[in-house]
Amino acid sequence: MTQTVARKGLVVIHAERCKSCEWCVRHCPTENLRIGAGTNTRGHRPAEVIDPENCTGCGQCALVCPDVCIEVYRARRSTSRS
Amino acid sequence: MSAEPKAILMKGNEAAAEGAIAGGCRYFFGYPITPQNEIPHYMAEHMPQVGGVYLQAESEVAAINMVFGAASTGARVMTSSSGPGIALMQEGLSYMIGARVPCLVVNVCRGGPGLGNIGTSQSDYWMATRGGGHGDGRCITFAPATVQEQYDLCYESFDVAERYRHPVMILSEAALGQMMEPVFVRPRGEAPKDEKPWALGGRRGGRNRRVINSLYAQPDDLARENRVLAELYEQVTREQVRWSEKGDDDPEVLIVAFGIPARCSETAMERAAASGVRTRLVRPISLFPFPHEPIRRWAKVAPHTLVVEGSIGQMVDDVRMAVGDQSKVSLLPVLGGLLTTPEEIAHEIQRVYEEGGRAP
Amino acid sequence: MPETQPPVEIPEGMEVVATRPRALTDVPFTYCPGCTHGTIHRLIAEVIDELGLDDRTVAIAPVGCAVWIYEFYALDAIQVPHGRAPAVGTGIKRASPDTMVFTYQGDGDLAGIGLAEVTHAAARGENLTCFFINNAVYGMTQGQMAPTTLPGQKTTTSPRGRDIARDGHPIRVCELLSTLDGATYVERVMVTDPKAIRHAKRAIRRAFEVQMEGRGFSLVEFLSICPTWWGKKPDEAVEWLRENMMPYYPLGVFKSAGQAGGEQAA
Repeated sequence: MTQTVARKGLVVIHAERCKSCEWCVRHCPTENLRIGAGTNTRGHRPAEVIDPENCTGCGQCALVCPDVCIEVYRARRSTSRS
Repeated sequence: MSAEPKAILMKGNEAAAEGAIAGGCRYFFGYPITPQNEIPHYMAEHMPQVGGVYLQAESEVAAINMVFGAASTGARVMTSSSGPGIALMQEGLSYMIGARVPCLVVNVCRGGPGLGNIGTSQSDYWMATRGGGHGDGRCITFAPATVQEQYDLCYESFDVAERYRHPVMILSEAALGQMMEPVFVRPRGEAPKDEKPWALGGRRGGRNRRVINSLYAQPDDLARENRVLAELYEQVTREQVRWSEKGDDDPEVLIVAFGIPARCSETAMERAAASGVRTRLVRPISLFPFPHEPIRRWAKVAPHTLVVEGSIGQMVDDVRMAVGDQSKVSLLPVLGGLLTTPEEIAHEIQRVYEEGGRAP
Repeated sequence: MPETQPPVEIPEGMEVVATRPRALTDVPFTYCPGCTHGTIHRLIAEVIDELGLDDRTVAIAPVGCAVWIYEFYALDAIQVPHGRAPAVGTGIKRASPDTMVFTYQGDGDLAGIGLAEVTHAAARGENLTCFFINNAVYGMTQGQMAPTTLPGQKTTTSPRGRDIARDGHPIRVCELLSTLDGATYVERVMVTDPKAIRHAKRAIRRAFEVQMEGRGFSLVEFLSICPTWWGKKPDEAVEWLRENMMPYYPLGVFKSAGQAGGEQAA
């Protein structure tokens, strides 16, 4: 599980579950996801976040992922405005 | 209950339905087909009286799958049909066997194959006892010969089905379904309230989820389940073989017959005795598991074995397996949907007696 | 059988936007990469979580690609013969009316061998929900022509394209069932993009609510892709679906009885 820390949004991708189908890559509004170089034990190249700073936590990647590989968190509104 | 037992004049079909209700059945899903229609009629009338559900399905395929669903909640569920409908139910029965879900299925056999006719017949014997569905499953099968016995077997079948978590089939026939005889009925009992560990209904308060399934993609898993079934059938054979016997202790002709042909044979035996021929009848009540042992025992004594059955010869195979070469087996097939007469059977007894028995 | 998810630790100062629904087990889906069966599974699970139905719902698994949903849902489940899920569901509901039941069936299962069962379940107004996944082929068995295969569409059993003269016309199930008085709620949706997916989830919720309120039969048809047997990458498959399936299978609410006026699809 790749852990990426972000200011506004945090995407956690379960690499082992990913089948490299690119649904998330195509629907990330900030084009902040790509297919990584490595392969998981099933031989797929998991998706990964390009720039953690750039993630808004919109959740669209998790919405379209057909294998429930993606968890999305975003900064609780109160803290992000301070 | 010490209530004075009441005898009611009932049709065989109605007795099947009443016996099931008395045995705790509260859900019936069926489809019209002669000669079993009095069963759904009776259920439609009486299920609401006991807080049960009668529903007519769009086909026997749908009916058996409704049984599968209702029985998967742990309820006591029944369906009935005749040969063509039972044939349509075989896939569903195979799933229930594979998924270990109990139920009662009554087949009121009619002439076949194809549309055949609506006369009486026993030509679904193989379908019932060899498993008409796919895979290694066979229904535990009982065959009543009287309206009372049809009532009793339907009453008791749910305990048997639940004991083994396996469908039970009653192989009746048109003559028995349509004839009327007095029946001593019991009070209408409730199904036991014990919650079955496999019954579905949602994880209610967070219990572990339950799955009713017959798919085992991994070979080892399916092999294990098949062995469970094999051991189950050995247990059923140890515990559920049922038959009745009647006649001379030193028979010259052993008669093997079930259902109505067995009753016709009893009258024929009196005629044979009058003309000096000693006979013994073994009447299988359980068709699977088949009563090999008593037939094998009497075949040692009787040089000739006469099988009387409503088909071109199906149970005769099981009789041959039991008899081996200890006695000469011959068959009197009862065809076309009519009953055989005692005279015809008595004539056959006389013929085989004079022909001399023992296999060469 | 694996139970539901271990609790998720939420990073400091953050809130959850999306996480694995409780109504799904840990078992990875068996579908081909990009196949939207999995998306639909998750939406159903999310609605079950939101409506708090997990402890009184039974999932009915079909025969087809989705046969293993009894492994994927952390629910009571039963696997049933091909096409017979609505009949099994009828049996469960008649024996245990307060149990929630949903069937999950492909187009071969529901519109082919099981058309009589779903039609009569709808005609009887059975208080259950059918989720019907229309991807225009039989997936599990290697891409054969299905009752919903489009005219001219190539499949393993219509190698030169579906020939209307030989194979007749595809069946529009929502339109068919919406003529039945017993059908309370019938909608066709798709899961091709975020907006459509959000709308599909609303349809799932509406179907379950009809069942919860005991208002009778509900069915949601999902236009779905089959990258493998369409021979297309997921995004190409989505395009093919838009250009070919949508015209033949228009989206929308085809039946919404007992509510103030049927709602048209957003």
